[in-house]
Amino acid sequence: MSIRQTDQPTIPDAPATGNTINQLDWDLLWERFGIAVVTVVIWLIAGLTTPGFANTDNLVSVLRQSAFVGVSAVGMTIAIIAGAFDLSVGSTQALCAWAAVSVAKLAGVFPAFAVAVTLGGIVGLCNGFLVSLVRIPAFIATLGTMFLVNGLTYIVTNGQTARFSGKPFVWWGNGQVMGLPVPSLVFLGCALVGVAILHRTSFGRFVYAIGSNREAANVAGVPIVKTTILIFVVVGLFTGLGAMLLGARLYSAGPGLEPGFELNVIATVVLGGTRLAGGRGSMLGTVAAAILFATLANVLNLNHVDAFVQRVVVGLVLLLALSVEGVRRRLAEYWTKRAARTSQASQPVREDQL
Amino acid sequence: MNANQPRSARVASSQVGLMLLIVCGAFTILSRQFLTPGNLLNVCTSASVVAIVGLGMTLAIASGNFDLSVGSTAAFAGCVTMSLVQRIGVAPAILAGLATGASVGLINGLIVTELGVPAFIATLGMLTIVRGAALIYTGGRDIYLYGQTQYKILSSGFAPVLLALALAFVLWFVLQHTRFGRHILATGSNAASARRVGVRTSLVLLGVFSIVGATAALSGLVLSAQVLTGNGRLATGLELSAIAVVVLGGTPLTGGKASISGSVLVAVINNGLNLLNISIFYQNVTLGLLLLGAIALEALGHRRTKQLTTP
Amino acid sequence: MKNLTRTSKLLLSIFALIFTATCLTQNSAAQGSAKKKIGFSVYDMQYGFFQEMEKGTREAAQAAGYDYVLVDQKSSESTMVSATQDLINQGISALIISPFKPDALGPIVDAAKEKKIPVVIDDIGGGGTDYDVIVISDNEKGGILAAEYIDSVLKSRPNNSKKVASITCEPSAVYAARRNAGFEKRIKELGYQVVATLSGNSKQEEGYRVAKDILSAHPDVAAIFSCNDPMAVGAAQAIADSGKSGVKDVLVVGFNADEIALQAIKAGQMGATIQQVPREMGKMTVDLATKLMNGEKPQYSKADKREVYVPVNLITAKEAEALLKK
Repeated sequence: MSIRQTDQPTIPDAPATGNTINQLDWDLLWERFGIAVVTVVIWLIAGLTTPGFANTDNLVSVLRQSAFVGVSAVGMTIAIIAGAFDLSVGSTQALCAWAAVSVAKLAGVFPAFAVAVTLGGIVGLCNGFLVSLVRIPAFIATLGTMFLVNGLTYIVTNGQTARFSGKPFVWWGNGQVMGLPVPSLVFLGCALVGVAILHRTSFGRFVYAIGSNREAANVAGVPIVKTTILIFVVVGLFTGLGAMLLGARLYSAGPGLEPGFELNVIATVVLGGTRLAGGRGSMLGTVAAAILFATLANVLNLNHVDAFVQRVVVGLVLLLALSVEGVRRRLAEYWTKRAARTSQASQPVREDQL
Repeated sequence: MNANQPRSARVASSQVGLMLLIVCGAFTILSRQFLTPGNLLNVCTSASVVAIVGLGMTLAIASGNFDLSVGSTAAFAGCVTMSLVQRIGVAPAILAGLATGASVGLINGLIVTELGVPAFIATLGMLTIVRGAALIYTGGRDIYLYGQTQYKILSSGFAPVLLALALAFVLWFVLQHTRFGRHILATGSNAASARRVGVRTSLVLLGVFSIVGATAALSGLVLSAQVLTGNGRLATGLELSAIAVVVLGGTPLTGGKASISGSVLVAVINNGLNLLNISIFYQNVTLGLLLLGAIALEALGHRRTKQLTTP
Repeated sequence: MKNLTRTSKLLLSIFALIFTATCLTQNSAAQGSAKKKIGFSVYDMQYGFFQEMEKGTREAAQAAGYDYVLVDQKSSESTMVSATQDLINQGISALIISPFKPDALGPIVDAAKEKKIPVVIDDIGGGGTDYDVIVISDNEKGGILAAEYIDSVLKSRPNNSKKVASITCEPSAVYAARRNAGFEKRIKELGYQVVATLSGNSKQEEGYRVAKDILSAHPDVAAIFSCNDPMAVGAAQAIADSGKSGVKDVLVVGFNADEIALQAIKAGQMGATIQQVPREMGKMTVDLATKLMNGEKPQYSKADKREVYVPVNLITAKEAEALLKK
């Protein structure tokens, strides 16, 4: 079906040591479940050691907080699996959240939802167009859109924040259903939808294909242009949804909402185990990573850690989590090199080994 | 993450050059003050500050990486230097600041090469860590050296411009005419192939990141010389400006030249809009349009040339 | 891949189990301690102004014998809501908050009200919510004071151009914007022309850059008012770098009375600043919280808005020296 092409591999090289099968399993397991396990472990430790953590109100609060970055991260996971990413989600979120709050004030919840998601989709459409048809690399295109949308939001709103506290609207950010926070349920739903998209649609298959090997995918007949546009639209849609939830949570939204949001979203996706190089990913990881970040902030606050130190800790956790695989690989290399050296020393060199 | 764009630098520079001409022309007509020597010096100075870190960023991009921690590094270096100026003298303090930046860069490099963390995330993590470190170092207080005249040299007159130009020349020379430079470019195009032909990519990256850290520190030193203050909040967002001007300037793979033109363009626009008392809202919109416009024109032009040359 | 889906399900169920278990063994956050706990949620400890405010709040709380808990909003409305929620969930008896985004106070005030926790707001704004009391320094009045000071000084310079400029904080700081609004309104009434209103994004280095642009565009500008002190000091440096004086040539006035501004004023590099008294405001909020916790009603300066005013003062060279010694 496909013509083989020699390309630089986008999947990291498997270590050239013996015992390959076991090594690959460990990597894969860590990638898929590592962060989920870490999150559970941290919950256990925090529950036992941090006063005030293991109480319903607090846990609900942590779960709630994870949803706002999380919903957008679901879309971003899909994009990163395809080898792209979207730096404009922060600015898009501000615009959509403001629109959601303003529309909710005028017309109610459902129109607010519709407007927020649609606006997100439109920005996504622009991004997709720029990347696939005008052939601007995703990093640059979305960097440009980020500045553009940010400025436009300020102009449209004249720098003012919109405010609305209508109960049906804010319930979406602040309410609970069966003890679980509404935005978290939405987040979970989005994650499931994301998984369904990735594993049960042809679009999903194309996403993986493009992420693994773009040229091969192209040659194999994957509609690159359409898929790329759709990827960015999906990111935009999820971001718009998350934006509405955030606007509901804050009873307000305006330009300049959450600067640095895009980096948090990308960090969440990567922490969750999805490679920046593309080709594979873990939605479970994204969910776990979103919860982990929220948990970390909460635990640091409950332990009264100084705000400046908190910045250092958060960065360290991110780096630590992502170094695990590199360190493990280093150690494995070291041990196998050592083993090879000792075994070679005790064996005479055979001709066919030269 | 596509760090390798096979486009001609000549095309890119001329596009930015053209835009620069148009914009300068427009502002000259709209504002009497634009073309005055004092104002032009201002423009060049603010361009230089971003250009210095942009040049480092160019090197990073040429090697296939980004460095998101440059803003935090600039702040930290500024804080370190300002805290030492009165104790050990201006020149040693400056060296200490540069060393701080290079060390942060080295750590970035080690995280990327030894721990296998992708540069984007590694420097993103360091962004928060170093910012926190700067704040812890100063205890959140600002160090204001209002009597300090010697240190001011870094920011007075043509100093920033000269620094930027000198740096540009050095980096251009390194990229085009030294083995290290060739190794950087090789690592950037295809790290695996580079390793196969004997390039020590790890060492190359360590060198690159250290240089990026040092240029970020230099930027921070110039900024803190301007305001004579060491504060932990300095240069927030510098990384995005640096990346934007590198991108605007065209192909990173040819080094220094590209980055200078981009930073001049952005500085001119910001200055012109300020002279005309136009709201800051429009500065971001303009930057976004510029970025997209410049790259779009370039991409479309390249495509047309491709169509023309393929039978 | 079936193994992986099964393992995912397994992990999710473990997670759910732990969640349920912790819910069932719910501890109420307040572990029967006799001391009352005061929670303070601060805008951003990166700024000298809030460091002072926090100090005042903490010292007063500890002097009054309360337990004291602090969270930092880190200049983020989302963190403001989640971190303050963390406070509320820790069983505080009163909440003091200096909000990054008053517009987003809604969910906080609602959550506090649900737990019968009185809400005292320290400066910035109340966001139109149902707080119990807000201690507010009059931003607009501060701008007016600055305008009147500039006028009083420029009067003695008969040949001055009657042109002034205004440097604003970051666009999203709408409450700080009242300083510039008050300034511009008053200065125009006094017969001056505002030739430039530019944003320095609240950053010191941008105050420098913007001031340079102002000087380029209007070399004869007589005074510059800055929304905060870091930008004012930056502007003063820009003026010095242009070979002029931030007092005699272009009068620079800042806002906040940060330490760097006091130093600059003492060194003759800028003219004046408008002082807010964050440490005293911190103490006031603790006193008000005590009153509210005892069921008393605070004494308002403006009852319908439940506001308690804190005067802002003009600080010139005379006062700067004394303040620095403190």
